[in-house]
Amino acid sequence: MTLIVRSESLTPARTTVWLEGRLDAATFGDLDSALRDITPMVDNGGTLVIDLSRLEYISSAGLRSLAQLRKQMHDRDGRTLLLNPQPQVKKVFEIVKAVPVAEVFASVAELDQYLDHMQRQITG
Amino acid sequence: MVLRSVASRLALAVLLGSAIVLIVTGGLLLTHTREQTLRQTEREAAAIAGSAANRIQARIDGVAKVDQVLAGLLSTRREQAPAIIHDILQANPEIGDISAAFIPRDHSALREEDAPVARRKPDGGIIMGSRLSDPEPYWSSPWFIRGLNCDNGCWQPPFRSTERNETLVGYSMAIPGKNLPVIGVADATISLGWLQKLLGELTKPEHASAFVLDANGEFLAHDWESYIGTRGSRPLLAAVAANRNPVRITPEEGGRVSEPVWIYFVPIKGTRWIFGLNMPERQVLADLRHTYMVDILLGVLALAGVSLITLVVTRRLMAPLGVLAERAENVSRGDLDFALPVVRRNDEVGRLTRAFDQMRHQLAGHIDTAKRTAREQERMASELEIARQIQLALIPEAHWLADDGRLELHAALRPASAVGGDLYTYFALGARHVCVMVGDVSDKGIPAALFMARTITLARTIATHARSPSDILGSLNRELCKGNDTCMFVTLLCGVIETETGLLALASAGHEQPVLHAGGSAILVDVETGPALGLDREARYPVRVLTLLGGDTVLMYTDGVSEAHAGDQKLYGAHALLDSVSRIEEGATPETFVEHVLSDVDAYVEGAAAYDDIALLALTWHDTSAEGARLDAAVHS
Repeated sequence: MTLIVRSESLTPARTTVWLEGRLDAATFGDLDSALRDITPMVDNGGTLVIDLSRLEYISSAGLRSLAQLRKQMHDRDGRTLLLNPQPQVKKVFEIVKAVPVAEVFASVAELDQYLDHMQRQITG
Repeated sequence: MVLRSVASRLALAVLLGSAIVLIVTGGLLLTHTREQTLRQTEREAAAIAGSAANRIQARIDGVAKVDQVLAGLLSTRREQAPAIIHDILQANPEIGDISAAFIPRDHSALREEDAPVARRKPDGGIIMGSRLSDPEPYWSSPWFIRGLNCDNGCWQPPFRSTERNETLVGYSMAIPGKNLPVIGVADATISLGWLQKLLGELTKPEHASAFVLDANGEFLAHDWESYIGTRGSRPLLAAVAANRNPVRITPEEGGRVSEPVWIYFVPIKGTRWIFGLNMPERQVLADLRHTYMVDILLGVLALAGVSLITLVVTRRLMAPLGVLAERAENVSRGDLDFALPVVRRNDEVGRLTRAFDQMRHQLAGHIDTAKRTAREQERMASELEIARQIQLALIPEAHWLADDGRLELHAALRPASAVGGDLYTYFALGARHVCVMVGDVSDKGIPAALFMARTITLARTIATHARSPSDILGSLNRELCKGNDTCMFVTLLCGVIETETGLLALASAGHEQPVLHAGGSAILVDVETGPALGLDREARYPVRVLTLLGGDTVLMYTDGVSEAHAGDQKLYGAHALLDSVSRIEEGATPETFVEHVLSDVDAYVEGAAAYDDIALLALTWHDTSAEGARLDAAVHS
């Protein structure tokens, strides 16, 4: 089983990455190398959305990759938000809390609402 | 075997291929040449027959002209007939005899002068006579009647003269009269002996025989003299009648021949005779057969030559390949140190030789690299083995029984590779407390092992001054967050048990829920988890307190147990684990718990190599004092 990484940059401020398959010790290297190409395209202070709807499994090695990604984005004042994990993956996030549970969203609407809220906080 | 060599096989293939080509083209050539030869022979025969026919025609035309002149003379000079025919016979040596036969004026008074005849004697002299001395009356004999009707002259059928012992043929022409249309017949007879002689004088191909056939189908002359006067065979006459020229006649068809022959014939103008040339097919084709045999022989010689040249040339071309093949066998034996022939050619062999040389050097390089890599790996393996022993030295004994006998622990650690990121540890905190930990570092292998070593070392140091698992996890987390750019983390379940009371305080940093085996059943203990250690400096860890009763066992484990699987198999899961634990009899030792769960997990993956590290720790509290009420409380730090 492999990992497929796709990405789309609609605006410099927001890039979406789709993960499909398994993210574990055998595949996190693929994600890391793919993200090395993707993250520079996100503006400082931008948002990287990781769509997990087709991710079937995540191991601790995979969590570490995501945590490291979040840290890198954070160092650039950016945000890493996780979208729509499958139940078994969501459970791992909830137990290990490698990324704050508040940054995991069940749907795009929920995520957009969160981003709106954040922007209002900054501008307001 | 000779055919092992490519050169011999090529030469043989060329030989076979050319032989097939030779046989096919030879066959076509034979057919073609046969036709050509037959046509050529036909042309030759036609030329011979034509010239022979012309010669015959010239001869008999002469006779006819003489007779025509004679008829003209006699129409006015009947009285001088004997003298005229005598003189004409004298002037024309080819003529045998000449008759001037007039219709008798009075049958009762026949006169010698009515039918004078001049005959040539065998010695050349001329003797005069009369037709009246013929055995039958000349005026009623067929030749005379026929002659009266030949206004323009015509040839009589040949006849055999017994007295002269030769075949004769006469040319007759009606003698026109002054008042009557016809008064008699002028007849010149020639011997056919000249015809026979002419046939013999013809320049004919060897074995060919010539003949002349009259209108009745009888041979007037024939090279085979016994055939003279006999009838031609049925197929010959049929061919002549149908003008099928040339015609092939075989003994089987009824031909009067001993072998198949070709007959070419030409009609002789002015007569109804046919001149024919008979050629035995065997002779016609003899040259052809000879030529063909010579051609085949030359072809075979050419084939042998071509094969030989192919063999020699291929041998020369392939010689370097033979050496290369030997060298390749050297390579297969592992010998890379040898000389290669110097090939300056730029063809395939040259390229192959150079490529082979290059390959040999590269192969030697690869083998060196492989050897170095193997040594490196060996070194790595031995280093890993040492690392593994160091790692194992970091964790306490698998079995521990407290001095007072109340607390018994048993643990197992099974890294998936030489070293791993799972850990367990336990140590006393003062006199009345014992701290137990089971953890799992993100990822596997050496980075995980190093992080595990850091965690386990820090934990012992930090925990010395703490009594709450919440504090222990908090301090440990802050230490592990320092300089952790790679975001390694460890999930850790930490328990502190008061040995006297069995009071167990639990805190979890993102770790699996422990299993409690109490009163014959197994349940998951719901411990609210905080973030895994090493990620969030501000993290807090709530505490859950359990009061263990005598014989209760708490099982702490890593996801190597709960997520065990082989290939695409479903994960082992918490339910299977609970099921496994619940089947353990009450009062079993922690060692039994550990071994039972491990064997169930092993059975589930059916001996497949472990996918993840496994750490498993069973803690049993033996209460020898009175039964106490189970106290269960959650204290949030």
